[in-house]
Amino acid sequence: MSIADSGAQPQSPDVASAAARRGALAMEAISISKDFRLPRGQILHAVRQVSFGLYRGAVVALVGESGSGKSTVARLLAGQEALTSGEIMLDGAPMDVSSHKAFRRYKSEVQLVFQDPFSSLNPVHTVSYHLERPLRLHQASGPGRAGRPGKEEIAALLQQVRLTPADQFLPKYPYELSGGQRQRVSFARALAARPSVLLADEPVSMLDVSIRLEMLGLLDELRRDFQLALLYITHDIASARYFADEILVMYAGEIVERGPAEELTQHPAHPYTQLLVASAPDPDNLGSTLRAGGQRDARPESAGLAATGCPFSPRCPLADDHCRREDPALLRVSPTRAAACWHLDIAAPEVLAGSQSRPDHGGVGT
Amino acid sequence: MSAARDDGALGTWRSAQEPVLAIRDFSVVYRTKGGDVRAVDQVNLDLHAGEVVGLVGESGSGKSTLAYGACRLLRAPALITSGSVRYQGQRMAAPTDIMQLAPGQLKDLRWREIAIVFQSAMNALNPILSVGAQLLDVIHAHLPISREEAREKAASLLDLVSIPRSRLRSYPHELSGGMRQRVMIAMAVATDPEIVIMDEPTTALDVVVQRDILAQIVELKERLQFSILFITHDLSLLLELADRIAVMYAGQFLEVATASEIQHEPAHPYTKGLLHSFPSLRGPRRELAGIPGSPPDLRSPSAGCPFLPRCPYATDDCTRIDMSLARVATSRDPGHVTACPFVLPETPERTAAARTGNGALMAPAPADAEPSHEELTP
Repeated sequence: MSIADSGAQPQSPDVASAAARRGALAMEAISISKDFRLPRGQILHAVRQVSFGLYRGAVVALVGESGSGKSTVARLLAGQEALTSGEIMLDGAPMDVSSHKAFRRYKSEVQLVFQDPFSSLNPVHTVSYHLERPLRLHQASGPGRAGRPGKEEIAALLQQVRLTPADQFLPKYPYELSGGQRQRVSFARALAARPSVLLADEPVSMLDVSIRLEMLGLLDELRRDFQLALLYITHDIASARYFADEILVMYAGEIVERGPAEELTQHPAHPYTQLLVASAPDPDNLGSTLRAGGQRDARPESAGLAATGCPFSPRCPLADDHCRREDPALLRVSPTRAAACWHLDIAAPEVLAGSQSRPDHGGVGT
Repeated sequence: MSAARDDGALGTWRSAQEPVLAIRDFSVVYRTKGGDVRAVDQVNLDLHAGEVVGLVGESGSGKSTLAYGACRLLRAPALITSGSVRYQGQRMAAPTDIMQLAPGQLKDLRWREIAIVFQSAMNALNPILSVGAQLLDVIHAHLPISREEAREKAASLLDLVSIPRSRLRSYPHELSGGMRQRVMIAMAVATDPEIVIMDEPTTALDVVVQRDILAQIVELKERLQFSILFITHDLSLLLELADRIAVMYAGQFLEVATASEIQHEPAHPYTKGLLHSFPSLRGPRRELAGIPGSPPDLRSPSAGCPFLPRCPYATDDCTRIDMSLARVATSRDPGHVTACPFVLPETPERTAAARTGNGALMAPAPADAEPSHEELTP
């Protein structure tokens, strides 16, 4: 989508978020965009008119490949990057990070957890230091509070992320911890601010497969216990199926499909989501797709992005002139689902048909 | 673990042929001030012609150490303390023990016979040389061919991995992650090796690209007829890709079997744990549990099974019994071996009791039978 036609199409038609029934709206991104200036006057539209809501006690997953703009969305929401256009609302009020003080106030509500626990912790500081600092910074203004946070508070944080006995971990340096333990410290550090929104940017992708589930389980518990509004950013759509209420699929800075996690993964509507789902390893169908050479990406990643029209059109098997000319907006396909594709009738006839006849179902754990 | 082990137990797959690579009783330690870290502990593994063997384990389980050790690519403080690695390639008149080779002979063997695709294509390629220059380097170092032929060979290698020939002049930073990994694969197969060791070749890539690369690997393997030792921590990949899978934990093999046996009739509790560790995208939502806890400290191995502290099936006997690999009598695969004499394929999952509080994401499914512990005499 070029700058010229931005604002022409509403990016989020009246689709209800599957995450909304968990709790109240905590944070809302309204048609946010971010452009980066590149050398030679080029402009990279990293995020284009993205809209969604985060709800207390619910998980929204943002799924996409490297470079799709999902981390930029997290940084925009965290107030660490200035918006090019659009608006971010926190608890009904526009985000204010204009002054140092306002930024800190914002950060005590919105916390970010990074992918790499090896580089997000300071190697020269102990676990205790990593947790004491946010406690002091973000809770100092709280009622009945002064001076340094007590050891009990830090220990309680470690307890929450199951790093016990806390005494043993407090004096340790990051290099003395395993990857999983480090990521737990990152979670504890984020929780120290008592945030209402947690933005987790690929929180488990650096960890071993065997520990990933445990960490997602822990995040899930924290979400429940603290009624966190959680944004789970990942490239692993299978984990999003299990973990999230709603999934947003991002491609080239745009949300190309959104819907309840189970429904979207089982009946993907957008050709890109279909490709993502088909690319996941399928242990129940041994080797078939690999060996047949089927399901290969029609045009591999080197095909690049389209300058105009649908950004997925160079890789899309259904692309025609219309797709290459005009970028489709998100189109409502059911009360909780939307997809941005001109050819939904060919790509996902059953989803379109289902949306008319069957009442909406879906969402996690129903 | 006892040193006496049935060689045949691991080599029965395609027993008519001699394996291309036969690793026997192989041990590697890392010498540290705090004592020896037993990274690989008396491991046996066969790789047959045209076979894909998967080596799966967590970080620090010794899978890369085993593979690099077998090619003698380790440096101090790593020390190979025992074992032999017999290589029998088609171009070789007689089998050779890689452990006994002189440096010059090693140089001939590496890349020409056994090539490696390293994990991080970002770091494994030289950032200041073009793709073409790096391909030519490999070709000239290992093949006695003319400049013209080499240039043609480099171009055809790019064809092989579906990269346009014009990319010969590109530098690594101009390529996407997937393309860089393809270049690495092209370099590995440049000399037509018999064995390609792949160390997490797709770990840093997106799923769609990963899928492409894997399909590319399978296609190349069929075409060029090499064997693959595929190292990963992602068992779900191996279930699709590998013929046989060796499950490694704390420097030892805990289970070896065909991919389909590992998937449908896993015998070792750790394998079962791994199988419950990845969310599936298709089919009904399963109970997922992961494996709570962390791997043991290899400096001071405790007696008995290394998986004991994390095992949901653990009993008091586990510290006393011999945990060497033994055949799974009930398995269809005659090469199926497990280190756990207690838990057998038919042992039903212990769900609720074993996993509550471990962060299970879903309510446990009801077990359909009572647990029964059958003993297999090792």
